[in-house]
Amino acid sequence: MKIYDVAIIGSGAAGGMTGHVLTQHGLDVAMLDGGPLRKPSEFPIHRTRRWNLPYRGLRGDYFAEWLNMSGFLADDKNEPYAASDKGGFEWTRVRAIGGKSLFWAGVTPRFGVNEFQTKDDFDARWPITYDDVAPWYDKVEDLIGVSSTVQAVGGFPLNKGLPPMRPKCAEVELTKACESLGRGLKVLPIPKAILTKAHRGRPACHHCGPCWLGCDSGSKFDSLRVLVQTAQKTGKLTLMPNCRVRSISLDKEGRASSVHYYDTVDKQWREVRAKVFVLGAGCIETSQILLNSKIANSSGAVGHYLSEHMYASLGGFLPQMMGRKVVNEDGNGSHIIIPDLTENWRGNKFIRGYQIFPSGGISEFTFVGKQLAGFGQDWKSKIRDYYTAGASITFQGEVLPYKDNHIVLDEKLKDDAGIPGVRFHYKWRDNEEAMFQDMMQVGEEILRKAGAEFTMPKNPRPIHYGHSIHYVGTARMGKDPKTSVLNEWNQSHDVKNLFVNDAAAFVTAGNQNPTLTILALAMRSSERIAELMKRREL
Amino acid sequence: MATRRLFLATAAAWWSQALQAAHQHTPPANAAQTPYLFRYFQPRQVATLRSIAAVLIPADARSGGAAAARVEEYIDFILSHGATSLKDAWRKGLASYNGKSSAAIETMLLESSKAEFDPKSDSEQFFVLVKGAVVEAFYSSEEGINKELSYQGMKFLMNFEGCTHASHAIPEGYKPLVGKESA
Repeated sequence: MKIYDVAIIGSGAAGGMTGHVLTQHGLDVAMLDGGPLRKPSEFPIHRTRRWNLPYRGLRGDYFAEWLNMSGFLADDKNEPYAASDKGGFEWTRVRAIGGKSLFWAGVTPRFGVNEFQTKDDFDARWPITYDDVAPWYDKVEDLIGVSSTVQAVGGFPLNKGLPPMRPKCAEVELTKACESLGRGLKVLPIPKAILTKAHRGRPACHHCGPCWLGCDSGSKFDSLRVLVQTAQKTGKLTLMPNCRVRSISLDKEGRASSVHYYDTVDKQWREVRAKVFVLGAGCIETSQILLNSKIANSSGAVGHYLSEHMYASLGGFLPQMMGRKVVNEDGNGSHIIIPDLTENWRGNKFIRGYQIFPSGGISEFTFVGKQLAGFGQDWKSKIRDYYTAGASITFQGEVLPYKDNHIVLDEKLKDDAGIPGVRFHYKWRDNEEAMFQDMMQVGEEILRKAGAEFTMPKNPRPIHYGHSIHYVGTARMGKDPKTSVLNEWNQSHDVKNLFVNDAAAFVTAGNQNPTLTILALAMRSSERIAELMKRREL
Repeated sequence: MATRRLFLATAAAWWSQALQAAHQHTPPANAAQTPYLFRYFQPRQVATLRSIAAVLIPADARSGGAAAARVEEYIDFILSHGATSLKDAWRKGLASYNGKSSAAIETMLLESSKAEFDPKSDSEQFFVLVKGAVVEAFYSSEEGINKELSYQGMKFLMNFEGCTHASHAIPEGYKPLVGKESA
């Protein structure tokens, strides 16, 4: 049986970057993924419109219906999971080469100094600093193309990127309100892995629709086109779609030797052998594989410290935006962001922080008619006036990595291949509640300052568990093998030829979107693997 | 130098055309043309709901309103998955409008809408229920999005200019209308 230099499990941001780097070094790489190889022309973005969907995208998760319709999501009946706590947990699993990177929104803030070196006493310490990661951020941003060269503000670092996207009318108005509040809010062009000019052979964005339905022009970064296909061109990558991994086994010396997978097409179990193994299946599936393998867990930390982001939002209508001529204001979603400058609003009510996404303008539809009294012709006319005036303030806050927010394997939740599935034990605590209350206060202040009309929900609550899709933790890195799974190079403390390059390695969620940091850490780890293999130390 | 500029301009135009040609936004397939089969509503209820919806969102020069959007089909589909108590509310509510003329329906709706944001009686609560469903069904339909709202998005737009206005003025005669917590 062939023995590859490296076997990578997963083809999303982490797996793709790992394959890209290692094949550039001439290593012989196998990349396994549970999903098929799909063409960009199959992405849902231009294949249908909202009104043709049974639920019109209005029930359940905001894009699940669109992706389900196109067969891009795991079938929960064939691959079941469950949650034990009342709040449940929504787990989005993309089944295609490229993984979730095909359908992300492209937002790419760096983690700041404060995220890697937290100043509070909560027990979660990264073994690396911002300075350790900064050079890799630079390289990743150049490779994938990040729009917005924003100024460094507080803990929010400089993005060395392409020109920024221009703010929309509503964003200009909200910026004025935010910056005149007296809270020190600083509105910046949003950094996104969406090209504002041609870059490395990929065309600039032409603003054709929601990026999260898949970018068929390749202007938004995804792992399939920027990383996996580049790796294929080296001739060193063996891409293995439709291979659902169950476990990794060790040899007599305690080294990882084989990955065992189920071919979902011919329904056969097979294995791949390699010298080094890299998990990049996504935070939760990576820890599921480790637990099913019963390896790399002398710390008992595998599956624990699950974290993500808490989302909440407030909406309203800006009178100065009412009754405008209807134009194409889609852009590529939000074009501005307020980074976390927590000392300006946090006080001592909670620890850690949150980002703010002020947004607004003319969107695809409006249900403001429910909030406007009456019916008939005049009422319809008012709806059209309000249609151009929408504004929203969305918050993305850090959920602390509690040890008992975790996953376990549940033998009753076996998939159609007999692989034990995941049960979530997950809930938010007092810190998240205090942060949420602060979000609502700040959001209300911004909308009032902007002169908006809005209706506060009677009992405002954050959006449900798992909504962010920013799952992190569950195989965290750290200095102490007794309390962490990986060392500072994403390498297993226990199994030296095993690496975890996805967000399972994160110690904290930060308040920033995780993909850029996943890519930077995966690139850093992969260069380390190549170096160690060259020195025959793996 | 002039030749180089001409070449670059020609190349840019060619690239733009090639990009457009390579990235055709083909019109999405419309829903199947086969008639919708109602799952919950009976024919009489369908007729009643159509009449109510046509009063709530009437046709005009801009769009065909709720009737053209066939809002009753989407509402039926959603309701078919609904709880028994919700179905009962619809059944009773529609029965009270059954067989009425459009004028009579409008009168009833006007009366029921007076307590729209604090509904107490069954008729007031049904008004909120039916209005909300019709709004959702219409403004998420092709008729609502493309014709009524004239949504311009999801189209090729090579250059996104963003806001180009010196300022944005509040419309003359503006009075806030939304919600109780207006700023």
